[in-house]
Amino acid sequence: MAFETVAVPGGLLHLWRTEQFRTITVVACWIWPLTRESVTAVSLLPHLLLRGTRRLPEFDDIQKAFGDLYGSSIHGDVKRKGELQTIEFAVQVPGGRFIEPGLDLLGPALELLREVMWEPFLESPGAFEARRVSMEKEQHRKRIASLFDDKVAYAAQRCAEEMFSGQVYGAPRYGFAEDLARLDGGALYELYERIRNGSPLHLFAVGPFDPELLVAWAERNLPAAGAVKRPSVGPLYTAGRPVRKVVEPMDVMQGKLNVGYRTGIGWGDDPFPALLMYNGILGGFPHSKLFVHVREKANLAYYASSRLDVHKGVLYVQTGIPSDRMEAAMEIVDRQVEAMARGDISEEEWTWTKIGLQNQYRELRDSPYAVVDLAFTGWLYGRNRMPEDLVRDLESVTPEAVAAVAAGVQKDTVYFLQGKEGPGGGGAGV
Amino acid sequence: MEERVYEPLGVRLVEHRCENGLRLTLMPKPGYNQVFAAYSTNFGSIDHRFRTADGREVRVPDGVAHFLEHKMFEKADGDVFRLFASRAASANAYTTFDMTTYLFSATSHIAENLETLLDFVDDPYFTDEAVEKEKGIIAQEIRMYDDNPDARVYYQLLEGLYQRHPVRIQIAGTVDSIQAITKEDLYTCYNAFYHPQNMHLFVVGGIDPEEIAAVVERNQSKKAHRSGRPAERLAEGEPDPVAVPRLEKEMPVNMPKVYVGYKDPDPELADESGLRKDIVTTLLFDVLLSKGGSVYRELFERDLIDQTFGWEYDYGRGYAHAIIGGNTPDPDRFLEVLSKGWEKVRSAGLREDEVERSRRRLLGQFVKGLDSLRFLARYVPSYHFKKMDLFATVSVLRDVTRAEVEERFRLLVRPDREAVSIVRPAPA
Repeated sequence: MAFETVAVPGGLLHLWRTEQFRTITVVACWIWPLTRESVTAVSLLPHLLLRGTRRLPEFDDIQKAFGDLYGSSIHGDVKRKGELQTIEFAVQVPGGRFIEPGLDLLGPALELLREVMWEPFLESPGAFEARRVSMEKEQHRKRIASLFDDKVAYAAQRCAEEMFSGQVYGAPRYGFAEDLARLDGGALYELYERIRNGSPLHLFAVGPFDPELLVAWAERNLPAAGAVKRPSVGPLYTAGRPVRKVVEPMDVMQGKLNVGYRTGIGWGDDPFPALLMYNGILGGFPHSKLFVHVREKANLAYYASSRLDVHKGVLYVQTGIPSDRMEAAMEIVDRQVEAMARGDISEEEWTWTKIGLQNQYRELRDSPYAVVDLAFTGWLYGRNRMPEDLVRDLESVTPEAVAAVAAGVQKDTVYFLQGKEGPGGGGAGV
Repeated sequence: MEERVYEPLGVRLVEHRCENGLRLTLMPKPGYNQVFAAYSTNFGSIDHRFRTADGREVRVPDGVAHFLEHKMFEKADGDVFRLFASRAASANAYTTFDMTTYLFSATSHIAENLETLLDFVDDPYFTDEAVEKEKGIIAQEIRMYDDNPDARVYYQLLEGLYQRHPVRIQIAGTVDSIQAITKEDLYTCYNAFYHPQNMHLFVVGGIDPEEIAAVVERNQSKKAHRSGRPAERLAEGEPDPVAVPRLEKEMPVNMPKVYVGYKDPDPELADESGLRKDIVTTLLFDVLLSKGGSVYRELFERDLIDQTFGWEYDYGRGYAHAIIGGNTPDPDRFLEVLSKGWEKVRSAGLREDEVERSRRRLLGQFVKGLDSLRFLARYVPSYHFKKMDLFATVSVLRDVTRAEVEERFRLLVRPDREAVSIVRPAPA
């Protein structure tokens, strides 16, 4: 139950053949450093490539071609892994034999994927076509703008932005609207060429496919790329500064308190499983300290949890509360973090968190995208942590190891989206 | 116990009816670590007026079904999340307009977790104190939706479409309406609708169905006393016309949103005919509105939609409607182009090749959906209550004709059955 990695001239294939799924999931990605100059353009690129290929010049044509393969689909997006951006195309293909005996859908779907990635529609050599570029810039402007509209996500983004202010890592997911003006077909094509020529492809495949056929296809069809180098995800976040507090008033019904902490531990570090335990006990589950104290005991919130950014070694707490209860909520959160630092962890909290995390990682095996994501992260760090590894490593985490994690946790940024106060905003009955 | 096999999907189902009337659907998924169990009652937010077994006519406060779902987790000896946590299971629940589902997922201790699931839902424990305390938590849940533009544009549309039907009321109720809820309301609803005959258990994943059936049968045999008839729902007759054809609202957002709804003239969907109508409708909107569809293209090329654009066809007791929409920079232009798109379909009809493409796409999507236990746990119970066979989707899809799809368009997509909901950015 592991990926087999095969090197081909075009890059690396990571293959997990399994009969568990009826769908074949293929994720192809290029990796590019996150920089202030390129963050916006890189995050626009996959969408631009989906606007047309040489043979299928319109967005429609590509979608129809996939649709004709019994609802096969392609999605393009950019993700972030530390200080890297990954330009990802995810293709999902139903296993043909579950529709008709002998039906092959993967072969043609891979061909379409290759066209999208390597044969874009160009106006003239060296430039994407102006009309497509201008439409995609407009779409991208909307993508950036609409990040403001989901307030739970917005508050999380703002907290990270404040934490990493002045650093490229603080850049929002899709970059900056002000960059769009200077992007044109030529500049984008130049970036595209640098990415595809300078970044070997990683292609993950999961599901009921024939690995030999896939390898043969890749050897024949993927353009050769340079030697595979392991790019750097960048350093952990380890500033030594006083707590930064930001309050942003807005005309909303609910306040959102998001708090960022430095932990000094990331994916590549030995104590990483202990960090998973720390986060789980503090805020990963309904039995965790944050849920029990903020929601069940104080009745201040519907959601109260914590999560990790494993690349920067950062932990975030998030909760939605009445706007006039910010101090009360912050104090409860502080007390839970202090309890963690004192090693005030019950037998139940410990055991339930351990088996709960182990269950999550076992369940992850049933989700192709999640397994691909773990495998990819593992490759980037040169440190594999597949579900089975994490289940095993969690088993041997000691209370001392979690205490050591707790000793290094430092509050860094408090962000509060402050709404209006009023009837019903307060914790009724408290 | 009855076994059903669907080829070439490779799906095997075991169905069973317990002595007390509870029905089970069990779906083994070889190779999966995970097991999902969903225990559902055919009772949701729209069932707010009913006649109880002793003849009382009741109208409960808005948000009761969802409130009840929250409070099921609390027991005399603590909350049920803890029991699940002690056996490495992750528990959850959700309430829809016409159904409430309690579920867990786990990779071990399946029989024990299953017993916990059945026992906690079969045995309510409500106190005044616990009901009061939950009001603060649910108020924050409602506040979260109050700030969510997708939730707002959606519920505003339902208010526009329906004059009386309770589907126009937000599932969780309002911060005000939940203040009136008492433990008696919860017991009234529980006793009215949480009967084995009104419930369904679905278990999917790495399971041995025979083993699971035995566990459930044994558990339920101790609960024969739970038999009895569910309450009689009192329908509010919904007049044909929409309530308000256009509603708008301002919020602190950057992108305007527009939803367009069509109220189905015949909202009763059940059995084979209901499944067919569902599939014909799905095919219709897939042809026109999926990426590559003709109306989608008109909107897309004019920059009037983005990745949030979508549609759904939803139906339950006494309501059925299609909703289309998403973010748009210009709601009025969106509406104009959409209605021109409909005009074209009205005059020229659909092309055979478009229908074929969508037929294939939906077939493939269904096969892909079989990999998602979450998808199955969401839809199998809901189709069960509507007496529809979800897995017959494939054979019906192969069978539906273009003429049927066009006929459906003429009946459903009509200006006189249309309502519009818009959320606009509030001036800074």
